[in-house]
Amino acid sequence: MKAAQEERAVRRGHRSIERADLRLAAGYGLLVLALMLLVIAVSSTLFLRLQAEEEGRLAGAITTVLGESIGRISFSGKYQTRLLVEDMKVRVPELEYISVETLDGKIIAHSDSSMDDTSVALDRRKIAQKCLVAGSPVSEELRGHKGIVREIAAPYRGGIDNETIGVVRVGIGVSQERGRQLAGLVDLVLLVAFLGIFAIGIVLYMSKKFGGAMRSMALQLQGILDHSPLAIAVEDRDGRGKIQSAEFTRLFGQPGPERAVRPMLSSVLPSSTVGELESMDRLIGEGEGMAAKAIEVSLHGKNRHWQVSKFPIARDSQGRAELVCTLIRDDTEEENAEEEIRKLNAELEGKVAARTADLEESNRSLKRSNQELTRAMDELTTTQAKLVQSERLAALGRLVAGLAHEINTPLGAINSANGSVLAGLEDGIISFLWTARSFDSEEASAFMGLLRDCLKRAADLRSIPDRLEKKAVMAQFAERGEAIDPASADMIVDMGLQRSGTALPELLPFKDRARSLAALHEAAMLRQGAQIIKDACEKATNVVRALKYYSHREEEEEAGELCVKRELENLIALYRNKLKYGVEVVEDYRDEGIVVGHRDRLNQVWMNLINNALQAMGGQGKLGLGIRRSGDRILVTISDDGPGIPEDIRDRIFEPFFTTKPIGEGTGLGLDICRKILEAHAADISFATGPEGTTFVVSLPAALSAASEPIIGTEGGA
Amino acid sequence: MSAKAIVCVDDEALQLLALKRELRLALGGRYIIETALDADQAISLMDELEREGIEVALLITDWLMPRVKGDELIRLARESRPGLQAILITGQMEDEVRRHCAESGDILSILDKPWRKQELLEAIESSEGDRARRSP
Repeated sequence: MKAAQEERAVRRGHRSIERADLRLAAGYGLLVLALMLLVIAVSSTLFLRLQAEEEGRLAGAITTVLGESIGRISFSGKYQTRLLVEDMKVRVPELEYISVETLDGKIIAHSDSSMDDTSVALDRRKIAQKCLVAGSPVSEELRGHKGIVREIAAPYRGGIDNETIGVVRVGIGVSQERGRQLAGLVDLVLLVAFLGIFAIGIVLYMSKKFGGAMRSMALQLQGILDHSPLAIAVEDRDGRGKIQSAEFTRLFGQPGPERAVRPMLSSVLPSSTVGELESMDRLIGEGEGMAAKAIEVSLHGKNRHWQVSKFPIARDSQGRAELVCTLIRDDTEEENAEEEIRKLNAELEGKVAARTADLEESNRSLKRSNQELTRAMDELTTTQAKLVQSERLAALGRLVAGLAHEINTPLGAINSANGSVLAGLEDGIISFLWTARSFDSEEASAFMGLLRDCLKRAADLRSIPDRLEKKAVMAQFAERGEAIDPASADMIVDMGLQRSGTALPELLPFKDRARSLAALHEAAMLRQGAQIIKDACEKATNVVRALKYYSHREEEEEAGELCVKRELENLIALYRNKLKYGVEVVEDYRDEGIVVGHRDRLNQVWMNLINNALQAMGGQGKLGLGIRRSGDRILVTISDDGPGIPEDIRDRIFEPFFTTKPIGEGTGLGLDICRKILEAHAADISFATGPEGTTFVVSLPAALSAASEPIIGTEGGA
Repeated sequence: MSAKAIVCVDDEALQLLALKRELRLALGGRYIIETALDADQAISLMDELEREGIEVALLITDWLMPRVKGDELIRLARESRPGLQAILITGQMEDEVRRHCAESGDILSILDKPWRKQELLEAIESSEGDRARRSP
């Protein structure tokens, strides 16, 4: 919007310069034209007058001669005169007419014979009078129906006294002459007009060509005036505006030749301000080169701060200012900004002081809290140490709780079995001997055979007698029509006699079957009690050994070559009772798995992994055991078909004390111990797990002496 | 007087044999001592005994067993025989469960492994007295 206005202003400026150019050229051209026309007019007038005088003079002379001639012949009578006139007229074609008149205006002879003896027209008598008075020819131009005629009248003399006796009037046609003169004049005017136009063109061209600098200056000035933020106005001595900037016009309106600057200012500005401006004008008038003032103005209801300067642009010979320029700079914003800066500076100092005080304060409090933090840090370190300690204690507590179960269980069995053994030794042995004494030799040998058998079977604790078996035994006796008391049947089942393959009644060829059975049972139970104590002790020992291993106190046992396959088979045999229900063992041994290591420790690893597998499958499923060889490594795999290890704990299963089992079911040390043991054997352990189950793979270095051929087929039935 | 049975349950065969021998020696004349290795076996054994007309007088069970724990077994067994007396023998028991069992009063006695024979027999005797009071 504003740009468009400026654009218009600029164009307006250019147009005014072009108008000035044009006016200049037109002015020059018209001046030249006018001068030329003047010259032409004067010269042609002079020329014409000179020519007319010349013509008159010549015609006068001719007329005089003619008059003399006529005077001479007038004596010869009218007739002769008339002949002469006619003859003259014929001979001189320029003559329009010749007329010889008396003094009182009677035509004696006329080239036009019809005019003879008539009187001269009244209006034509004046010229005759004139020439008579002058005594010399008088010339006059007449405009008649035959064109322009120069009429010359001259007195002619005659008689003895040579007195003026009449007037000779001659008319010479000058129409043609006049026409030629006019044509020449027209040509001349045309030439002058052309020259005038040419002069205008030249001037225009010259002003364009040589006025460039002026023009450029004017344009620059105009540009400055149009865009200057200053209000600029130049006024002449009488206070009329010459030029002014756009800003000035915006503030005060458009001045002009008829609009003085001062009243315009007065109409806008308060009178006090106008007074100040006037005082500045006075200063300039007194010859000052420059007057400047800062004034406060209230303009359109707003207070503005102006820097006003005035200076003369040109002075006349007496030193009076001819043109005065007024500059008004509005520095309200600057003033405000400066004021703002001064205020800000003042505030800033206050703020800096306050901030410095704050900083000092916070520095002090930082120092204080730093000390507090240091103290807290020390406390934390202590607490952390305590926490680590208590975490250790907690872990130890869990370990002890787990171990308590592991040891209490065999202890309970030992205690219980030992009670039975003691009771058996106190009473049973005596009744046993009494029974034995009553046997005959046949009975004695049968008893000895059965006793050996029962003692052997009693050492195997894997079979738990079943109520169905007892019923079957009783049924067996009933079939034979023999009665057996339930207590005896219990004893038979306890000892597993029903599994010997021989029919029971035949197996017991005793006279007192119940007593014999009781004696056998007594012996078997003693044996079983001792076996229970032995196994339980072994279990407790294993637990203690595991603990010892964990606490690194176990004495170094000699490492030796061992067969992993055999160890796994033994372990499975030991686990039979746990595997009894629902667990299928799938063995896939493709290598004997001969490695060098500590048998007990490696067994702890296998046991741990088998235990985990059984627990993972919840006591029911497939337990996979495998050995294969890969280069110089033996790979032992133990797998289950349980639900897999949850993703979020896969990374943690080797951490010590990490367990998913309830208290008593595990210490959380199993896999950690396994890893430690395997590291000591230059072996490593990895696992793969998913919804189909988990497989742990232990990779051990093969013993150097071990055969590398696979053993499939050679011991496939194992 | 119908025959009475004590059912012993433990997943550890060693334990079970020892317990059975002990009870048989002490109470052989008065009770039939039967054993089971887990809860399923124990339940079917009790059903079997009852079909034969033998009253299950007491259930002695280990607490820590795979799948079904001792307290859960007692609860299951009582579903069909509400007056069943029970003794828990345990090597290690979660404190929470122990407190809960003790507070509920469902369980006659909780014995820690290794148990003392005297303690066990006293608990069994108290069960007899209790039963006598309940069925005059």
